[in-house]
Amino acid sequence: MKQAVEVGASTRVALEDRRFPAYFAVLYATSCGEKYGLSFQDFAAILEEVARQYLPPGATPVETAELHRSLRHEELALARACASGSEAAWECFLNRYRQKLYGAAGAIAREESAARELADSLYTDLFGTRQSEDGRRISKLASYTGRGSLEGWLRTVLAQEYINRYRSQRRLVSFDDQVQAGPQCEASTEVPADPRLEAAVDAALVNLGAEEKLILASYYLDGRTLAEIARMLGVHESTISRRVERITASLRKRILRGLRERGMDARAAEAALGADVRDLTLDVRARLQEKNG
Amino acid sequence: MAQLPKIVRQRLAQQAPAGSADHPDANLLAAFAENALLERERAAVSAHLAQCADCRGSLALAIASQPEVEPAAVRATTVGKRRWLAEWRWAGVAAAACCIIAVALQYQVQSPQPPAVEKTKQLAAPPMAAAAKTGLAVVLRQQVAGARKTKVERVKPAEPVLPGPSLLAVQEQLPPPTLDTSSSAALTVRPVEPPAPPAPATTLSPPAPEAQAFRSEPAEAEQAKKGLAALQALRPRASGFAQGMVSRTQVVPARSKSALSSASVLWSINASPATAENLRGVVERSMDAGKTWEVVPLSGSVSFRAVASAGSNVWAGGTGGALFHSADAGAHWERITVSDESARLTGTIINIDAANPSLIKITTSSGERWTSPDGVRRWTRE
Repeated sequence: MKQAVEVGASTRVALEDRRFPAYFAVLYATSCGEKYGLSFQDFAAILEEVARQYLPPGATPVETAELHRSLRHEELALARACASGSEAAWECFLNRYRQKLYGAAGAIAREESAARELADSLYTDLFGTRQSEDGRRISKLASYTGRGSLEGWLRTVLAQEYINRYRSQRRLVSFDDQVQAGPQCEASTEVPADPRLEAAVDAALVNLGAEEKLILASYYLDGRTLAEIARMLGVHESTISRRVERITASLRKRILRGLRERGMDARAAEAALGADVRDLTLDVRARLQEKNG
Repeated sequence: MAQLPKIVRQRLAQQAPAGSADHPDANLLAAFAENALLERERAAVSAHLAQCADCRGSLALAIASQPEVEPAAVRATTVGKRRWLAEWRWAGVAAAACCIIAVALQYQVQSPQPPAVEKTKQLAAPPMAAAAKTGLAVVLRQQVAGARKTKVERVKPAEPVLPGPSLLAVQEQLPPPTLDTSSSAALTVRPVEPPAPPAPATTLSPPAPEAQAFRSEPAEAEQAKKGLAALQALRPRASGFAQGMVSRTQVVPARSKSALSSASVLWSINASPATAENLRGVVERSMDAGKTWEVVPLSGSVSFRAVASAGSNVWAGGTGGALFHSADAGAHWERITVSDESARLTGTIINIDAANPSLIKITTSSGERWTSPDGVRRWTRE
C-alpha cells in the first residue's frame, strides 16, 4: 500500500534536483521539513552528514540508503529546524516534548529542585544561548541524528548530563568520606593474586561475547537488577536470569580449565578459584568490636 | 543467583576501559535502548557498554526515566502474565455465569423423555477455569437431551499451565440412529489434526474459521452452538485461544507461554539450544499438540522474537527486520522485505498480530507499526 504523501513546492524542487539520490525527495516529503521551514537542500545535507558520521568511507549506496531510510525523518527534520531557529518548529517541539522533558528530569533526579535545574539546563542548551562566529545560535538539537526517537535522545542526554553532574559532586565529597572512613578501607583492596589465576580469568573473559560481558558488568559490577538489565536489552527478566546463570557457570568452567592448563591439578584449581581471599567478606570493624566487647 | 568470584569481578572491571573519545553519543545510546541499531553497530555499542560504567549508567537512567519503562518486547510477556492473573480473577465470575446459563438452557431444551443416564465425564484436565468445565457440561447435556451423539474434542494447549479454558470443538456425527446415553463414550481427547481450510458451513460469530470445527446442520446444532457461543463469550480474552487468532507471539524462551495454532500445528519461539555466546530465538513447531517440538531452520543469523499464524499462513519475525512467511503451514518459507516507498523495516520485530487475516500487524521493539492487507507484499508504516 502506497503511503499518501502531500507534495509541496519544495518537494517538487527536490524531485527535480539531480544532485541527490531520488529517494531523498521522498524522505524529505515524509519528514514534513517543508512545514518546519527546512529546505530540501538543508535536509539533503543533513542526510549526507548522518551517513558520514555512521558509515565507513567506502560504504555502498545500498548501505547508505538503508541507513537513511532507517532514520526518524520527521523528528530529525523537526530537531534540525529547531536548531536553525524555525519558530514553527519550536512551537511544535515545545508542545510535544516540553512536558516529557521535565517528566524525565524528575524521574532521573528524583528531587524536584534538582530535576527542574537539570531540565532547565538542557532546555537552555537545546535552545542555544551561545552563538557561532556568523551569529547563529548553537543548539544541542543540531547533534540529533535521527537514529533513535527524539524523546529517547532527550532522555539519554538528560541522563548523561545528570551523571556528569553527579560525578563532579561525588569528586567533591569523596575526600570527606575517605577521611571519615579511615585508612582501613584503603588497605583492604590490594591483595596479590596468583598470576596463574589472573591469567586464566583474563583468558576466560576474553572469550565472552560483548553482550555477555555487558550483562555480567551490569549485574555484578553495577548491581543492577535483572529487570533493569532486561529493559536495557529489550528482553524478558527471566531470560536475563537464565543467561546470568549460564554465563557464570560457563565462565567458572573455563577458568578451572585454564588453571589446569597452567599446571594446577583439579583440586588446586577449585581451591584457587573458590578460596580467593578477596571473596571473603569480613566486616573487620564489627569483628574487632565484638572482641573488644 | 550464582556468585561470581571477586577476582573475576575485579578483572572484568579492569578490562581495557574505553577512552572518552570512543563513547557512543546519545543518538547511538538511545537507538541501542530502542533496539534500532544495525547488528554490527549494536555489537560495537554492547562492547563499549561492557567496559564503560558511565555509559551503562546513562543508559540505565535514560531507560528508567521512561514512564512506560518496559520495552515492547518485555511488555509482550509481562502483559501475558498479567492477563493470566486477570483471567483467573474472572474465572469465578465466568463459572457462575456458566452455571446460570446451564440451568437456563436445561429448562429451554428439556427433552420430552428424560435422559436415561446423564453422565458427564470431566476430562482429565490441565488447570482450567471452572467455566470451561461448566461450559463443556452444558454442551454435553444439550446433546444428550437432544438425542444426538456429540463428540467433544479438546485441542490441548502446549503446556498445561496455560490459563483459561482450552479450545473446545464440538463435532457431531450425523446421523446417530440411537441415543448413546453414555456420554463418556462420546468424549474423546484427540491429538490435533492437520489444518482444515476455513469451514464454509457453520461457524460461530465472530467468524473464526479454524478455531471451531462445528460441522453440523445448523438447526440441529442450534442449542449446542448457543451453549458453546455463551461459553466463548465468557471465555477470558487472549489466552492464546482468542477467536480467529491462531497463535500468539511470545518473546524468546517461554515455551509455557507458547503460541497455539487453532488446528494442528503449534508455533512457538524458544531460546536456541546453543551456548550462552550464541543465544538467539528460534522458531519451533509442534505437530502433536505440544508434546514434542522441532526447530524450524529459517535463518542462522536472525534471532526470532515473534511468530503468528492464520490458517495455513505463518509469519515469523525477529532481529534486523527479518520477516519470514509460509503459506503452507510451514512447509515452504520465503523472506519478506517489509517496506513502503519511504522506509524499510530494520528494527526487531517483537509482535505479529494475525488476529485479522486481512490486516496483518507488525510491531517492532522501537514501537514502529506496520500493517499489511496480505501480510506479504503491501506494507504501510503507521
